Amino acid sequence: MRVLIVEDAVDTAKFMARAIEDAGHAADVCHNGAEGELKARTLSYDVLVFDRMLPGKDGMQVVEDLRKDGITTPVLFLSALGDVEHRIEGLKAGGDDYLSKPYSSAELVARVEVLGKRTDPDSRQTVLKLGELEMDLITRKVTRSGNKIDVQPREFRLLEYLMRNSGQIVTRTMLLEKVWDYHFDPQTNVIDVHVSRLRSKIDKDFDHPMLHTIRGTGYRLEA
Amino acid sequence: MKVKLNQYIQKISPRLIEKLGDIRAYMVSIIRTTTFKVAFGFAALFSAFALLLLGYIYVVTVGVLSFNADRIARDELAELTQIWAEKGVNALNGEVIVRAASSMEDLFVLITPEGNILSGNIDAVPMDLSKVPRPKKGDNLFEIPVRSTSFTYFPQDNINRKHAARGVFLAGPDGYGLFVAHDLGPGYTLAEKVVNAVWTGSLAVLAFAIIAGYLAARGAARRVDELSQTTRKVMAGNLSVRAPVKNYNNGLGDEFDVLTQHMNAMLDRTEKLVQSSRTIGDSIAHDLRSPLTRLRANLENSMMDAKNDDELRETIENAISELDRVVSTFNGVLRLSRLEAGQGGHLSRLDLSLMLDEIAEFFEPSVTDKELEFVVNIETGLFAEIDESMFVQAVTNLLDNAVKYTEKGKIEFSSRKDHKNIEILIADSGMGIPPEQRAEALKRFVRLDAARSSQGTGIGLSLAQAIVEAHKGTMELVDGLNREGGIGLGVKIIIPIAD
Repeated sequence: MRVLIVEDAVDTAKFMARAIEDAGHAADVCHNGAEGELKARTLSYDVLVFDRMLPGKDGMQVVEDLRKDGITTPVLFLSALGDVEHRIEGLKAGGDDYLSKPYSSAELVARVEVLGKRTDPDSRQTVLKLGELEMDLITRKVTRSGNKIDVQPREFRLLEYLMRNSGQIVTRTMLLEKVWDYHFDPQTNVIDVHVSRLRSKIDKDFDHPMLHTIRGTGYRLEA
Repeated sequence: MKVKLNQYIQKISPRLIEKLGDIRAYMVSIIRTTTFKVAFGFAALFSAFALLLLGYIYVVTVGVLSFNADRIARDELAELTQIWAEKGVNALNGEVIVRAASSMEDLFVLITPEGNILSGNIDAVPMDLSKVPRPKKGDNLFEIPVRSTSFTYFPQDNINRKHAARGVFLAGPDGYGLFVAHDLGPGYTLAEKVVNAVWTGSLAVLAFAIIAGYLAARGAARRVDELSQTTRKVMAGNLSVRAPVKNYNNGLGDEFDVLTQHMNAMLDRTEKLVQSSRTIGDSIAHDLRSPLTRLRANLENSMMDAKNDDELRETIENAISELDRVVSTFNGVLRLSRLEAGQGGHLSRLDLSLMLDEIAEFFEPSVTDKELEFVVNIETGLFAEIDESMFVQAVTNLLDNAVKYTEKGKIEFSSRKDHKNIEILIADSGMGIPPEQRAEALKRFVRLDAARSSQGTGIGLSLAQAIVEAHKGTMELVDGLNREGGIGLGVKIIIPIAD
């Protein structure tokens, strides 16, 4: 995966690039909006990471212009402005995800990877399959090795999100945002409880666990 | 003596020049004032108007009368000149005698080269004849320019009142001169009186205009002065000054009062914002200092004490989670301070029942995981003006606390409405907070009991309260669900219904 990082703080940019490279991707760094825009227009990337506020041309403005010209590469906004209004602004400008500073490198990498995968054209399928696990989005039936698993509506959405991003780490905050649409840090282990409840349903009667906890970061669903 | 004077002049001249400069500067400062400009403008406008009026009146009265009199006099003169040219000066004399005797309105004087009156009905030619050019020898009488004049005379009647007339003089050959005039009539005196009246009236109006302009402008300028004095003080750093408002509340306020009022309101707001950003800064500094100090101490200790990489790694991991807590404290404090400074969220009418149901569903696993009973009782169709993200944060915060501090028993999460308010109750059967400590508990950073976990930021309750207040509601701590070993804690939120 090729990632463009546009961040004016040189240290931070370096740290981000390293985190992304450590996860096995290629990272390209630049420090101002105009250069970032030029690279985003001329080179091919899987994900663009833009700081919201950049010297020269503002990150929001760059992304808005890219979107106007039909460049649909997924964009992750980074911002020190963490309020909901700022988030909504970022998404309106054409961002696909919004991460407020400070963040952990694991959070950054997890979001970048999820965004990078989003370009895969399989989001329209009606049946999601992952190894023994199968979920039908129409009949809302979940089976593992043919055995029916009863899940609550919210658990269904949680599982769907995990399956769509299978093999990738998803953080608690990502789950909170994407599954519950809550955009704050609840400082609770509520998410853990939900996940472990789901895990008990899909992994309990099987030898081979699929839903893994990544310590300090989040979860990963694997075949 | 002369030398002394020169010396004196030289001595005082710089001061004189300086003084003149001062006067000039003073004049300029006066000329630049609105007062002067407005007064001057008024005066100019009125003068122009008065002049126009005067001119118009003059033309339609005196002008017309004079024109007619002039014409009649010239006609007479033309007839007489013809006689003079054809029959000589004696015939002219006879004709003048006849005409002078028969007319009261036409006036004639025929003078000899010596300046004596030969005939006529007034006693002098009303012009300085020495300045009238005499014709040269052989000039044709008709080509000699006539001179016209306005004058007054006393007619030879019994009334003895001054009359105005207009006449023309013709300096004829051989030194004779003929003056013919026509009385302007009684209308002229009247017209002249009118013109005079208008003229003096205009002067009065002009004076009045200057005074009125001065007063009006000075009133306005004084108000502007008050405003600019206030702004000057504000610029100097005193945000608590306000411009005086004259008549605002009694409904007699003018634009200046409105402006003053707006400016004062702006200053109120600015002052509040400045104060609040000061408070925000102070409280952030205050609230973050202790965790940062703790963090620093931990790092320092482990730098000195750690025996191996694993221990160091553990310290760093702890430091990171401590930092995360600092950040979330920071966010909480920032949000709280903003709320306290009146920078609330964006309220819109939302289905609160739906929102609370989702929160209940969100927390249900955590509650049951802890083997607590979760009683959820949320009335449907509750609508209120809500900032969703903030309100969810407040309620989850409270529920989170309830789960955290309740070891046994149950948690009740209910909501209902009366005719104008919605009440949300989050009650637990935990240790509770004794009534006398409840007020204290709503203050920032108070963790009442050592038994309560040291986790969390300690601003949960006060943040929730600030959020509820931003929704025009109230939050109070009440008794919770009774259980052995504790009174439990209930948090009661009341916010107004949105229809």
